[in-house]
Amino acid sequence: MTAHTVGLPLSLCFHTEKVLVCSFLAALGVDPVLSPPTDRRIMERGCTMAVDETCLPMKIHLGHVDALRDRVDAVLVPRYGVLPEAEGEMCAKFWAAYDITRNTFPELPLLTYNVDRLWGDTERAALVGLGRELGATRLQAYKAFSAARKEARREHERLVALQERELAETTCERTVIVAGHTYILDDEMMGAPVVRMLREQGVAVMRSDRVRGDSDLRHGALEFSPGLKWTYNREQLGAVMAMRDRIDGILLLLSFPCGPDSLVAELVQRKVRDIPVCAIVLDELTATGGLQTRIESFCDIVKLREARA
Amino acid sequence: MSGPVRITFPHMGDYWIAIKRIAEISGAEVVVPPRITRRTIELGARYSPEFVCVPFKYTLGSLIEGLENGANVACQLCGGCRFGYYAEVQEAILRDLGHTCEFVSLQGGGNMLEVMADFRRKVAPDAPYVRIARAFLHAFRMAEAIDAVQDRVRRDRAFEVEPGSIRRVEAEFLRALDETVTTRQVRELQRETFNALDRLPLARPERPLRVLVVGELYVVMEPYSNCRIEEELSRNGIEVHRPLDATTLIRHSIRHVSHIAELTRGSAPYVTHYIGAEGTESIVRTLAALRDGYDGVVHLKPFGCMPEVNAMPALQRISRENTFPILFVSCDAQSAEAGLRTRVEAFADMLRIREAGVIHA
Repeated sequence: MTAHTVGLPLSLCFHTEKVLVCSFLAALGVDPVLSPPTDRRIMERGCTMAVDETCLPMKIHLGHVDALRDRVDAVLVPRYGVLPEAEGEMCAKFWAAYDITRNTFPELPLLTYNVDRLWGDTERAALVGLGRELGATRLQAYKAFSAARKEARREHERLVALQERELAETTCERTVIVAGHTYILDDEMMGAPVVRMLREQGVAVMRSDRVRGDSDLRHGALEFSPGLKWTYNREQLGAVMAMRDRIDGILLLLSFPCGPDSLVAELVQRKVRDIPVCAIVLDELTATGGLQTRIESFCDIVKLREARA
Repeated sequence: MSGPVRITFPHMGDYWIAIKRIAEISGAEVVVPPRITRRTIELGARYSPEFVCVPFKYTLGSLIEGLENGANVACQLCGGCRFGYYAEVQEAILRDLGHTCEFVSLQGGGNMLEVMADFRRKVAPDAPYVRIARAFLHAFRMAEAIDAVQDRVRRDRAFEVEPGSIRRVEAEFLRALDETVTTRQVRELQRETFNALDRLPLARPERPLRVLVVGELYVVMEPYSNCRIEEELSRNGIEVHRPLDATTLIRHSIRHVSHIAELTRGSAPYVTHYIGAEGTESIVRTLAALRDGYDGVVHLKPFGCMPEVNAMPALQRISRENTFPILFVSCDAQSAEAGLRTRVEAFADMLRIREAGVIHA
């Protein structure tokens, strides 16, 4: 298949993988096109196309695919399944992202790659396979992948360092960790407004996906909850546990009806007793009044607490 | 822990008979919780996270009722999907409710030898392996007998001449099954039950309406959680087929990867990857139903079930492209039985009109 422009829906995994995949495709001479940040139209479009019990991020994902339709030669929707042993597995929505997209848009040309330990496909093997499909040689694809991975790591490191610097220089007395999936925290219709509201309340905001220490975090998460297998949830829980002494409040940001979060948020609320915890469930309703009130009152509680010892 | 050990476990369908057989090897007393009722799900829903899938709420309610009846060890299985994580959260909830019971989470699938070893380590450390293996085998035969008899019941129930006659045979079978000691007795009981069913007069039309039930394992196998939809279909004169039962699940989980490969081959071109738990299976079964000339499919899932919701876009497409009737039912803690009855009646009417050739693609 020859595709000169490949669309990447800015949803689900591409919030974390966009640098890797964009630079990989660009190195192979393919033009990657990212869909615009989520707006109300994209969300509404996704909601009308999805099965109504689908989680909000998946609905938004379908809206993004729709926004790319007719603008590109093909849309890339990867599948992330069971990751390498240490990293756990993705939730079932990621397992089905490609198939859901294909059945919702039967006419749309789609590209995919599959990362799944069960079938022995690492991210590198999967992307090299995609590169070959796009007409590159194996060697070109390997080289492109190595360079892309370096760039992706640099970018992640930059974001982590940025957050560390912000927290070190902040004049705010209280720090709140926002624990959520990257695709929620980054999304303009989900997490981004919440983060802004928190900042307006005069607390420093720490994002769970930008806390340093990959394997240490996972280790901490498994100590707290030995049976936890979902990659994103390990990262969140690990960040919360690692930062326990540096935070004054935990804001759990969930989307309705997220399977893993429904259980993990319950566990955190039951087991963490010494720090105020607030769980906010996001759905496709856009009224922000209630959200604003809850965040204000949560910040009030955080500020009223006695200073950390 | 002080006092004698009393084990309890959550209900699912009629499989408590087989589970009890396994639990008894530990030498402890087994407390079978009361059958699932309105109260079970109310208890479960009250203490569960709001939008967790409904099997969590049923099994939590069932465990609480078992503990109320004097049990002090709660057993829960771990499996795939969200289900694999149930035990940890349920344990935290029971602790917060003030239960001091021991909570045992058992491996529920994969290699049977590992399952037995895991069971022995956690529940019956003194029992010899031979006894454990024998109990597992007996329990598996019991489950096989339950599945065989109930499969037959689902096919025949709509056409019984004397109302309630099949139910009586089934109830007698379950009662007698609980008293069996050897696998040979199970086999004989199964044969007798089939003979008894053969003797019942049936008024089966030449070509009855046939419907296949697919979906998530718990709501498919626990009749209370799906508002007894299979009986409702029977009442509307439909022959009900349901390939998903405990023994099928156990066989699948033993084969795991090769089974998944088979599924993804079978679900092409609609679904090309494994989409979690029974999601892919629902699609394969639906395609088979279409091929085998069934009149329709009923798809059952707990509200928000990830794998089954994943399967729905594909199922909807199969339905649309082949004008094939599929009834989608979401089950949650509230049971609006009257609403469901109306939907099943309308579905049955539609199948009958289609069958008569009034509407055709």
